Amino acid sequence: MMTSAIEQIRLRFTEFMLKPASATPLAILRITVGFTLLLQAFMVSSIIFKIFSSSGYIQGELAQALNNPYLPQIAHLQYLLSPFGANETFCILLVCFSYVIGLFLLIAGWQTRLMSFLVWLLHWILMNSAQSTNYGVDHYAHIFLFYFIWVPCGSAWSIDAWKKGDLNPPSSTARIGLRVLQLHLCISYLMSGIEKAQGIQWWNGELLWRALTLPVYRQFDMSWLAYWPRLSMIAGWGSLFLELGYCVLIWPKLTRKIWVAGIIGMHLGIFIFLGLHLFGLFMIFLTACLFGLSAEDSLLIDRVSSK
Amino acid sequence: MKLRKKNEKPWLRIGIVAGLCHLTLVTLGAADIGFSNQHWWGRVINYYGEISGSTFGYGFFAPGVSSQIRAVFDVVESDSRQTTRLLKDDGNREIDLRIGDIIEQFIGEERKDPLEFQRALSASLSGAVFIEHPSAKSVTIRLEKFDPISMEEFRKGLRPSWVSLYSAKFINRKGSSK
Repeated sequence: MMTSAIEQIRLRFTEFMLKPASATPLAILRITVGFTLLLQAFMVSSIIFKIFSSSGYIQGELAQALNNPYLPQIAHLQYLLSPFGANETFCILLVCFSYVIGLFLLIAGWQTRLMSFLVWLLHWILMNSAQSTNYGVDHYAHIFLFYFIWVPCGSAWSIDAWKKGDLNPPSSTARIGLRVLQLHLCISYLMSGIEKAQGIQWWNGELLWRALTLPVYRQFDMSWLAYWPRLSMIAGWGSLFLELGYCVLIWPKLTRKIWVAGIIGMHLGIFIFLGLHLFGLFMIFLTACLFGLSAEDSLLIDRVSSK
Repeated sequence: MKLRKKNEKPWLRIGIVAGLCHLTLVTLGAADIGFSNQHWWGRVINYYGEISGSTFGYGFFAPGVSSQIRAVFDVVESDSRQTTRLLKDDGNREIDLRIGDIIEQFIGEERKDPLEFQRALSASLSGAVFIEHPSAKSVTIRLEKFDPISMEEFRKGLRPSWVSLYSAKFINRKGSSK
């Protein structure tokens, strides 16, 4: 009895982790993340020397004090290339241009695994070279670029797949990759929800009010909200409910659509009302691709299993 | 059963185990549970955390929203004309957020010598302003803090404002000697 129950759990787990899946959600995530990072690169292009150069905002020794010296950064590259006459400007341009070209090739899906590694490494170097300027979107980008090296995100919607001529056959590796990314997102929302729930501002409505009126996030005049405190309170509770419930209620078919719509709505709100455009966009793409798109390409799975 | 047999490839099992180990580190990292650097394995795990992002936290806007810091620069040009400016203000949100993060360093992490750090950061930022105003006689950096007020305080008529925290004046000796 006990043995069969354990065997049943083992079979369920094996199916959950290994049932062949389409790589389409991973491929679309690769493309949307790539476009978001290209947009980010375009937006910060006017200040690359201000944030990465030793004569920029954070100068000389101060940059060394603020950055972790054990992590690869532009200063290390400059040290390595200096015998060949490369100066700081050249190294900044080299890393930034290589990163942007890498992003284009990652989106196109040419040598996807190699490009994923290259873009992840260059993005990490850029992050480490200006650690005091990083925020949420950089952290999420680093995490998911690292995953792209390991998961078969180039098996669909890519030049690689087109050259191979295969029709995105479902695979167990795509399923493992998808599950790890999905579980990571669940953990991040759960832990975020737990941390938020410990703050009184999330329960009494002050959080939304304070965030919307803080100059760095203020997009519109929201002073009217002070006269509608319950609205702010309900929005705070709603966010907590969505984040804390994500790890459980995103899985059943019955609640998945509601949760995907709720999370997209929440991040759309962050995009519009807090002006966190790239962060909002990034988070929308994560949930939309990993839980909003189906990995069950039934036609192909049937074709493979009938062979 | 058919599915299990078909997929019983060892590297898939290795993939699952590796994925689950990684997700365990993600959970520990998100819960702010770290490993000591005193042991070699702690150093390896921590470095892997940096490589993979598995040690990152997710407490955005948690536990709440606190104050905001900004840096305002008063630039006195060579003809004694004074202008007031921010580090960068061109309406680009991505740049605003990044500069905001730099300014937050003034009150961010605990430092051994906070006053010395503030002085060094002030000098660095003012130096960046001098680069854009090479003939300026002086640059004064003013650090201001914005403490948001509660909804109740707002209804009672209170309004939040920027409060001065710190200021430092940097003189261009090269410029003044001319």
